[in-house]
Amino acid sequence: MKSSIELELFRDALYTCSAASCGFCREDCPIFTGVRKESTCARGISAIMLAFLDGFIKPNERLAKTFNLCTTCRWCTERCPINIEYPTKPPNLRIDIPEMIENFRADLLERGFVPAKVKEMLLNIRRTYNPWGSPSGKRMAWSKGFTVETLSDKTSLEAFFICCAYSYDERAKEVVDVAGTLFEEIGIPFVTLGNNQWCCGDMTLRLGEKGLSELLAEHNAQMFEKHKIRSLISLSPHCYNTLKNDEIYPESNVNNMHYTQVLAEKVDEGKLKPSKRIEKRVTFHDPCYLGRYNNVYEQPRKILESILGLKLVEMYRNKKHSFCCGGGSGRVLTEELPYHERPSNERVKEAVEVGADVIATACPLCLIMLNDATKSLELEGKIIVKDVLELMSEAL
Amino acid sequence: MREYKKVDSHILESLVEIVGAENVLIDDHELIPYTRDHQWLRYPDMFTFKPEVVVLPESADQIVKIVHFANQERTPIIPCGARTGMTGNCVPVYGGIQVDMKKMNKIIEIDTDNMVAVVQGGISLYKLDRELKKHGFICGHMPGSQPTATVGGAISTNGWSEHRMKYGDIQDQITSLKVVLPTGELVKVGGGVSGKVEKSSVGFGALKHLFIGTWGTLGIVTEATLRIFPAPEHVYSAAIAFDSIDQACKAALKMFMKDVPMSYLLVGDRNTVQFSRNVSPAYPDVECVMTIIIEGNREIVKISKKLALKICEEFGGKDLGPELGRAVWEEAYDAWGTWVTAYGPGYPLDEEGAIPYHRAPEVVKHFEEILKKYDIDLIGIVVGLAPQYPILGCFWRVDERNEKKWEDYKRVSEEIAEIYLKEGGTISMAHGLGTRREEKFLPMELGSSYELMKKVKVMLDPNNIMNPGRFGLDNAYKV
Repeated sequence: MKSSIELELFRDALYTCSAASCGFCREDCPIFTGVRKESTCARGISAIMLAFLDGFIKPNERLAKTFNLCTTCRWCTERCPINIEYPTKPPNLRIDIPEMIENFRADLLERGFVPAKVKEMLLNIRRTYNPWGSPSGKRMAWSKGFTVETLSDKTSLEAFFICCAYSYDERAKEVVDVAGTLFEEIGIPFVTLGNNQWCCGDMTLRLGEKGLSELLAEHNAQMFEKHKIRSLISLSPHCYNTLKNDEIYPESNVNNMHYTQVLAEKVDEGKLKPSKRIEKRVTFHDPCYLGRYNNVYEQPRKILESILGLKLVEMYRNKKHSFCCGGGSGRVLTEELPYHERPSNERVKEAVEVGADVIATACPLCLIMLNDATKSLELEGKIIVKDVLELMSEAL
Repeated sequence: MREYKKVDSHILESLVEIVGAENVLIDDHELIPYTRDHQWLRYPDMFTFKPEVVVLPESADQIVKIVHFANQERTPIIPCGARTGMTGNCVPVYGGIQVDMKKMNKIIEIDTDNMVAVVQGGISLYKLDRELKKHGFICGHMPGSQPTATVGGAISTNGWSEHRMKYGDIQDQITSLKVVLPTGELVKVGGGVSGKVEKSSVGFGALKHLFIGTWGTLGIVTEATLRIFPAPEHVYSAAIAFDSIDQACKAALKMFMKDVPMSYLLVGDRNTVQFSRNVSPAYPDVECVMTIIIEGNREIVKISKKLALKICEEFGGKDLGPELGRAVWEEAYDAWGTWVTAYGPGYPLDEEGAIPYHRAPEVVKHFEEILKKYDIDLIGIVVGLAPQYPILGCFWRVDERNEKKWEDYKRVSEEIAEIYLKEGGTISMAHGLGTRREEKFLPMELGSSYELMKKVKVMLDPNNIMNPGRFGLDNAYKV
């Protein structure tokens, strides 16, 4: 049984990738680096997809599991020499494995093939509007001790979009509490949608569950309209990317930003002047959905460099060459690889190699994955993982 | 054809016992990516060359056990690295066990005092080079596939390096190897006692060469010790326009005679220039372009650059400026992406061989005539990268879905091969001969050494289980 008509749109690109078969995508693919199988890198995935299109591979659970390893970090898209643009380049010859893999996952999902952990997560989102499956009424539990203004019946021009990770993961919760205080201190009211906010839909989209994604987006968009929100500041690059770029959120007059863009502006304006010294060697791990997806590289660095005493050191794989932590595509909750194969372990080792005391990041999923890796590598106390918000808060 | 035992449940169980279940792959979707390397095999015909199982060993000890077992069961083994070979020689002909070396990717030692590195066969050149740079060194082997190719794959294919004029190719850099023979013994060859000595005249001092360029038919390279090179202080690159390939080749020859220490020199013909202009309209409209790279000690590069430009000017060469020169260096590995797309979806192809320098202009014209006879999507013809018998490569793109173009390509490929032979050169300096042409052309080029090749194969691999079906070597065995 051949796959759907939509997947046929990728045929030329898949054929070109298969024809070229250069494998440049392979090194620094976060999953291939640990697992080492041909099926886990973009080149292998595209060969599988092409064979799947023509019925040489039957859909099955193990295929779905392999496809669900991809973090959609876009390193392969960035690296692919076929993606060099020039004026006379024929159309439809762009190798975007993350885009293709979302569609193939959707196809397999429709046929009933989805790994158990992914299924559980999708059901959680359907039931409780967050991937953790925790009660939606507890979305604001992190704000104990800190009063946030929710928008249950008010209107606001600017609001914060709080990733589910901050609401339901114990480590990430520490960041959002700090965020609230920091933004209030610099004169930006920490206004949120409270329990009326649902998951942005990033994970559901990446995993091919388009229907559920649209449901989430429709609800959130109604909330934005109801409260006349014209500017959204996301703390997570995943939310930021989905709200700004994914089609489930129709084009609107809502201005989407990531918090690093806001804080960097404040540094430039002289309104954010950290005065306490942090005498640490800090390396910044570029989140894929902030960097490669949205070209935000300099703002987090500007914020860190404004902190007195902080020495910023760069890892070899930085900025658009950043090495994914492995948390995207829902893998922060569905990760099943043994620790020694996990991208997050590899990344922490890279940070240790440059002599960093602190890995700074600006994404809750990166924070969770890298923090977990420091524990599995028994490096607690030797290197710590912090959000840029936490470091700035300590320095104010 | 020799009969081989199919992979059955007993074989699978034994492999699981040796490498662990997570390192034994049998699902269709896991095997499909192993039906090709970088070579052009018609889709979907390539699926007939699927392995029956793929294993990913993590140690030489595991490989020894796999090979012993395969001999016992008379099941073929086909080793592979990054699968960026251009001739399909790591794709199984008779099914069997594909041994994927990519989990054996450690750097065992970087010895900066003796300027060698000891590595496992499955490490990528890219990763090795990245680690070496932290110590102020580079890996001297730089093929077009450097971003992904493995050291073991480079050794097995006798790979070609684009900066070979300074650093040599992999064959020049190996000091010693550890190899699992087709009968299962693990041997160390070369390098003196430590394995790090570049050359030895003790016994068959050059025995390591038995395993370089033998395409995994005589053993599996588990470990290699290779020379490493100080990272160049300065890299100078230039693009120089000439009025003809003839003038460019004369300039190249004079630079070689005057010992200008280049690492890279390549002359692109009129077609190459026009292709570049289609991709980048700002590219100058000239007859041909020579690109050169000189790297190393800053002072030496400075002097050499002046000498190179002076010689080129004698033959009418014009420096096209620093921007284009820098692009040569910085975009070296990725520019080929445009070959793949420029004519629409299809395979980028090149046939390459070597001919004498003084014959290059005429042979290029001859190639152009042949190519015009057929409907070939030409990218360009290039000459260079060696001081004598330079490589002469034709690059084109084929949409194999077009039956006529497919047949045309096969004819062109053979006509070009005949010219290389007639010129006294080689049909392939870089990529090797693949399954499409080996039967006819291998004996024509190798002559009497072909029989020697067969004898060596039978001696080392009495059961013909190590990558069988290559180069007509099956015929060496009495059935």
